[in-house]
Amino acid sequence: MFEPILLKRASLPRSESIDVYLANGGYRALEKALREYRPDGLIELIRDSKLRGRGGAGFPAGLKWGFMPKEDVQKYLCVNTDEGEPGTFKDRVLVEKDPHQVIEGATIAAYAVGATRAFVYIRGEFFLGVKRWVKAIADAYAHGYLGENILDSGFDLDMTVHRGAGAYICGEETAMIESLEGRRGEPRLKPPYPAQVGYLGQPTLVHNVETLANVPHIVLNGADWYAAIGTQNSTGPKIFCVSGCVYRRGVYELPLGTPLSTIIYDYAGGVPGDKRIKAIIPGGASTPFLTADQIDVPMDFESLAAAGSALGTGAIVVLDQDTCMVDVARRTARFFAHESCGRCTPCRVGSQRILAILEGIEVGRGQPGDIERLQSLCDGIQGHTFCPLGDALVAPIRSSLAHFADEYWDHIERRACPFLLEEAPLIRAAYPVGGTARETKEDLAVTARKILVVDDDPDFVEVTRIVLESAGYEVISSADGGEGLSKVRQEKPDLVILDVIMRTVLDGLHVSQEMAKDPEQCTIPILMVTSIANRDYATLFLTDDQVRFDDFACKPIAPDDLLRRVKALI
Amino acid sequence: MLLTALYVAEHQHGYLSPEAIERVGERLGMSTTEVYEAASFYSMYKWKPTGRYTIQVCEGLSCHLAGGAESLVDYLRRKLGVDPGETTPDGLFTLLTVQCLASCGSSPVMRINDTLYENLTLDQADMILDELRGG
Repeated sequence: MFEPILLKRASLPRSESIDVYLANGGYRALEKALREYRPDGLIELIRDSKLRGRGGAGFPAGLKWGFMPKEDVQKYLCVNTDEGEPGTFKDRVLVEKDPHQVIEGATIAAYAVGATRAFVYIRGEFFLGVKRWVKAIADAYAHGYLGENILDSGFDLDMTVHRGAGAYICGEETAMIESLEGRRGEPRLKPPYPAQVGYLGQPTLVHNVETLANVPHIVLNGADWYAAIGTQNSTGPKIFCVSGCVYRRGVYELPLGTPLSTIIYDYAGGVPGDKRIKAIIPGGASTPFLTADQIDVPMDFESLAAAGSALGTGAIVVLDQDTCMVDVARRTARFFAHESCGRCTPCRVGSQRILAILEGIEVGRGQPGDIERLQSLCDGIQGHTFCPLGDALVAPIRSSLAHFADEYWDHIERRACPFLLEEAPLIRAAYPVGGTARETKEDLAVTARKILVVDDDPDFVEVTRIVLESAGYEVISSADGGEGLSKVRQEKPDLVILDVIMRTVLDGLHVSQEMAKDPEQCTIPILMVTSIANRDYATLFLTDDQVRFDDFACKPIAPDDLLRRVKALI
Repeated sequence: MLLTALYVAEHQHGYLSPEAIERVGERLGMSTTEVYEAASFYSMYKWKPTGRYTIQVCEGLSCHLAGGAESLVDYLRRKLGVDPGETTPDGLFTLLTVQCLASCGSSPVMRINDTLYENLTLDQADMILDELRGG
């Protein structure tokens, strides 16, 4: 059992008061930092600890501190308490239960980078949080932990609370600075980064509450102690927020790299009614869905990126077998359409159009072509907006379409939400979903299915072979289109993976065309792969009805992605 | 500064009336247009008079999964006889739906003025409203 670090005091009575904080080791780190460290030494310490930002992006905190100029100019610190990512409720807990821990971390950070003014930007909706912040700051002043000449060190820091007014985007650091300056909270173009040009044009360090809460512990216990928690590059404890279809919703502090399944089953108690898990949102509404077969993924920055998603804020939302994924996408789209600031057309118009289509599909007014329209709207938004909000909307929608297209089709064909129909809501599952308490990858694998890989790139063939064979498939291969075609005839594979362009006489397109002519071969599913095309390229083939394929993927294909696609096809 | 000034003005005037906006502009040395431009970005300000109690019901994903967000809204809509965005004729309650209130671990939730009510059932919602009516 992991001993909580950040939430250690949270369960104590009156944990928010300065008395309880001081009685439990509070402000000792600040004393140590001011007496034993020069600012540079602290920056080095944080760098060695490999602490990474907990607000979503995971940027190394030590680097961020190092970016602050050394010159003697007015510098600022912003404490980001604008927690708004749906599913996330960790900062609220930290601020309501243990605000002094954050003040202590913020004061140490300010000392390290030479900031003498600190702003706490808190979500307007957090009434209790505002009260707790104001009280805690007043008490810290009274005890000499804020204000002039803190603990006789000669270091001054003033801290004030600034209340936001209901805008998710103000959690983005440059939007927050705009808002602090009394304007619309629209993000600025980066670079320059706030460390160069921030509040009132001065260097500004912006940190999430949870990130700062880690700082006192690193100062007290050392960088090595901290770096030993978690994984190699995702160090330290993380507060995971678990909600949705689980027995015990709430916050759980665990080392980064803890398997998702451990959090869901051992801590949150699993899914009520022993229902199967259909999907999991691992890091808040803007992170792509994980599917049930990915439940053992370690919850750290690298592993989740490799799994095609992101750690985000560590907000885990569990969706069980009875959850309608179109409804989930619709609610996600509602949020982002509501929060789109309106500055960029792709996001402003695109989010509304995506929402309109999703609302239509959910209530049974979906049209054939809606899925393609959604895809094309996603294409139009992604990478074409000023700030990350556009991409934040696109990521979950795209992932929903990729994993759960069948549910969309069912809605459209049945002209209703199947989950609301009286009859058994049988979605044609694209792949086996979920598992009761402990379904493993082995249970999900389909054994003894034969897959033919036709590709002249030996590396791809080798990697594909390893991935597929380890999942229990039989793999045969050919580096030549002509030979591949004869193997299709002789071996009768259950699936053919075809490289589009090969340096041989017959390439993947030819093989597909030939297979289409043969009544026995024309039903074998084909997964087309290529390394030189993007998704748009696929539509070129669609115009030629002789070329048949059932799925299309761009190399490199992540192992999980490949297995998912293969499972969907056979 | 501006956001705080707007909160103060809203508190004094009940909502951000044209006079309130003008007054904020005067105090901060900004034109009325500038104040409007910034203020209209934020969703928490009230632009028209509201009831004595503003009820905000979360319709986010986690509250929905907790089995009640939508039914709570529907229930309050029927009980109060108003749609989200409207105020009861007696001027007591304004019903609003909001996105995430960062209480997903204790969903479904609603907020009435400064107070957050968590893990709600319809019966509890009833009791809370009756109490406010009486008080």
